[in-house]
Amino acid sequence: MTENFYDRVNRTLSWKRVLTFNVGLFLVLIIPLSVNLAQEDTENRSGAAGEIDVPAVTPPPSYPVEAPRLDRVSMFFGKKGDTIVLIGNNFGDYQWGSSVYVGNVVAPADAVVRWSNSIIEVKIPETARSGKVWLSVNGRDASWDGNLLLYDEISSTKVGLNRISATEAQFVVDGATNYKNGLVELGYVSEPLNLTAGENITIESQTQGADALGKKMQIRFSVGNNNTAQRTIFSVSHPGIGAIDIVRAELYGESGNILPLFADPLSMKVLP
Amino acid sequence: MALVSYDAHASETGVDSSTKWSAIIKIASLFGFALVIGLILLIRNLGGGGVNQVTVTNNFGVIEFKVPYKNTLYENFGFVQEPKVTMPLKTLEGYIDTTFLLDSGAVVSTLPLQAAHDTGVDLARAKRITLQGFSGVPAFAYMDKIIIQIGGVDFEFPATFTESNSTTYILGRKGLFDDFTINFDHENRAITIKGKSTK
Repeated sequence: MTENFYDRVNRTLSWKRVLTFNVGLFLVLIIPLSVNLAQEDTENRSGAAGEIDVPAVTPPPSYPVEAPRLDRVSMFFGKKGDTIVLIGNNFGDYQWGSSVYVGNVVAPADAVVRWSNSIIEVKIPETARSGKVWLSVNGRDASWDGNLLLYDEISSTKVGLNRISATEAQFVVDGATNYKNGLVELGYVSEPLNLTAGENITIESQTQGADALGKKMQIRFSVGNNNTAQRTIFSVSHPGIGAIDIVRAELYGESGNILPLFADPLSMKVLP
Repeated sequence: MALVSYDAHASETGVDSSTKWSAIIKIASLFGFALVIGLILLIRNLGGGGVNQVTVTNNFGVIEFKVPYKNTLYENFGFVQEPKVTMPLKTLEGYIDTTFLLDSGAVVSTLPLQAAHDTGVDLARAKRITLQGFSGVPAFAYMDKIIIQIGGVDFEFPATFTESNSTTYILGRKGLFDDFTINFDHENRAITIKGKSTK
């Protein structure tokens, strides 16, 4: 006789077996379910969570014993109201009675964003013009070798670094035809830097140096036939370790006048 | 289709009803756990939309954008609820869904360099400012504007673009907090952004 289906189920499936099966199912499903639920709205991250601002208290003047030193001005170009950063040493921990001059004029107190012993952040004053940047700390001056170039995007010349490969970049000038010579300072990490002059360009000198932020090389060049609006001044090959960035650039006209320059921030630095 | 023999059919017709129901309950119990889990997931997806899903309503000129908190596991702090919202950012390629950290402590929205490239911002024209990092070394940033879609409506906010591609997309107070009421509801683990659909 054929056994009744329900009898067979009742006989085969004891409650103990049902419970055992469910426990097994639970163990099988719980791991992928837990992982899925945990990943749904969770991400992993390491690191610090925030910064606490401490109220500023200015102590009485205590100027550095050593004379101030101004290594770099970053960036070397800007518009009125843009912020530049002065990097060096012995500026004093606070401004106190010190002054900073930007584009030949003294920066008013409200233009100084931050003053520390090695870094000053200052806005380019409305009355500034292309020219020198220096500071006076307790009667002692420190001046930057370069010139801060004020620009407007329409009439100014654009410079920049083009990445050619992991180990090669080009310094290019776009939009100027009336310059006879110039200089570029490149910050770099790995040596050697090998330069190849562009068409009709003569590299006059290469001077290596270093400051608080690392190694740099100053390249002076002259231009023979100056009628191309867009030209490669030189190519630079390097070992491909660390970035190469433009620290400073200047172009001079026939009468020695300095041309207004700017660079797209995206082309100020090339990475390997 | 299952085939039932005449003998089986004949024997089933004479089965005791308590035996029949016991067998049915046992078969159902075999998958009881799976059914319970399935039911929970179904309810969670349908009923829990207010908390764990993004909802946008745009009624009578008022937009309400509700998003769940996101859990972030920090190495040193364990799980931390983070107010992250995903909104369409207007780029040169069209609107792209972008996840922002809603930061009531940030003065202005801050986006990485890539966003300037994507949105077509000319950094040479933008005003240059400095941002302070943890190391004390200032980093440059560029002030311009971004357009974000909330509830299908475009809103323009001031924003700064950093020089790094590794910074987080942050929505700060300027613009957003001026025009919207933002409620951080930690009990329901949800953020509600509510405001007028026209400025």
